[in-house]
Amino acid sequence: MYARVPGGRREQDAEVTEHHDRPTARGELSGFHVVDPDLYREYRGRVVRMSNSHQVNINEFLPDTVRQRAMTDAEIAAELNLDIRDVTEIRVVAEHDEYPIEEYEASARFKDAAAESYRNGGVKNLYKGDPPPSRNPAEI
Amino acid sequence: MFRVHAGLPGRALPEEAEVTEEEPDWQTVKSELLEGVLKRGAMVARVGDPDLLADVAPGQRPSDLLPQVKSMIVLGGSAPRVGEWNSPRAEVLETVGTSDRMAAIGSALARQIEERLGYYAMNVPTSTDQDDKPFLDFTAAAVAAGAGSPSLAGPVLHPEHGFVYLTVILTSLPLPFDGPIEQPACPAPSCVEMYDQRGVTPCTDVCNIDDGGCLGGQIQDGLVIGRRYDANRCRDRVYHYWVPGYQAVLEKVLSEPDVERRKMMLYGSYFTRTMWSITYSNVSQGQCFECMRVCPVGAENRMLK
Repeated sequence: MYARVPGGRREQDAEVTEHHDRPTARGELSGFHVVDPDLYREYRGRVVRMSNSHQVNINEFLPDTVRQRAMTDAEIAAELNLDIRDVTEIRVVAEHDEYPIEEYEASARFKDAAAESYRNGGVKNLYKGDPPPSRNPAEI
Repeated sequence: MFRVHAGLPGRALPEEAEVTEEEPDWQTVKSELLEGVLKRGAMVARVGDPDLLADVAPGQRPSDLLPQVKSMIVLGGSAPRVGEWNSPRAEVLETVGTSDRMAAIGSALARQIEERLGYYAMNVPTSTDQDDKPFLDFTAAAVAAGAGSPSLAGPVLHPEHGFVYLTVILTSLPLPFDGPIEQPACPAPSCVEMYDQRGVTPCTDVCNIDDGGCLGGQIQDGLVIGRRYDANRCRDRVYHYWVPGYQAVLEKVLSEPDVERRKMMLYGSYFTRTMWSITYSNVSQGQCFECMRVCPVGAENRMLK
């Protein structure tokens, strides 16, 4: 009996061993791979530093001596001796996890203040620093 | 209309089709294709050499997507309207992400290349790949084609139009390359002047990485050096009312034990607007333009009477 009929459902707990290198197999292998929280906590900082999150001179076409291209997940996995699926998950979770939910409300206040400052005085009058504590001018 | 040798293997030509063996005038082919997309609404249409992207991250190179690629056509346009740039409400620009219009023009061009010329063509998906990364390094493609130049703020800037949305068509058509532009659009002369006086440019002034924002860098001898960028903070501002915000609220809701507080979160204004944005798809993705609002490149086009 086939463990998996092409195009059909894979039996629960069936081992995925065939055609791992096919592009179509990648999603099946990592589609809902959940990284272990302890592994996430241990490697989160290093993965973020090595990835695209905090960019310094990553731009293409810079001189080789200047450019610092971010590492791919495969390169990070090789460097840290991790499974690439874990690296991808650690990176994607960490990208969303870096700033707390309050950052979203702060974003709204920042955009309000930035647009208002530009409207009132152009580039000589731009809002600076952390977002104001409220969207209501009367409360600032 | 030009006719060229069919390039799609296994594709039968109509019996009456005349196949000429002589080399087509590729410059004419290119001109007709690009004139067509400019008429359809693109503001920028250039051709780049895919081999110039050899240095980008593996997996985001043109040949990773289309092994037969010989040239890449980069289209730009569909920027917000002048009235939207000038609205005192930040929320107006937040909701005018119009990259889908460029993608539609790109898809039509790819179809034209395949059906009328018989060469492979792919309008690169502008959504995210399975690992939450783009399918292609769009910035590198645009720079290689001369559709603009990299900027201190991040988006590719066209010298005349400034910020534009991009779409890239990879094709096996051997079109002549335009190549990168000679004079970068960033930094603009007024930014160099401002940096010399105050140590910041408009974009790094309004969204400074050392002061709660996303951007940093210096200008030396008229060139941007040491550019720094906090991609995660920028994403939270750009996709404010979108997938990342939705995920953040969901995490909060799932860990909230109080039924009534959960209800307040789910029916509250933030989650409601987020759901509207998500269900409007990418027409609502242009959610932070503050570094571009203050950018002088193309600013003369953002002033009307």
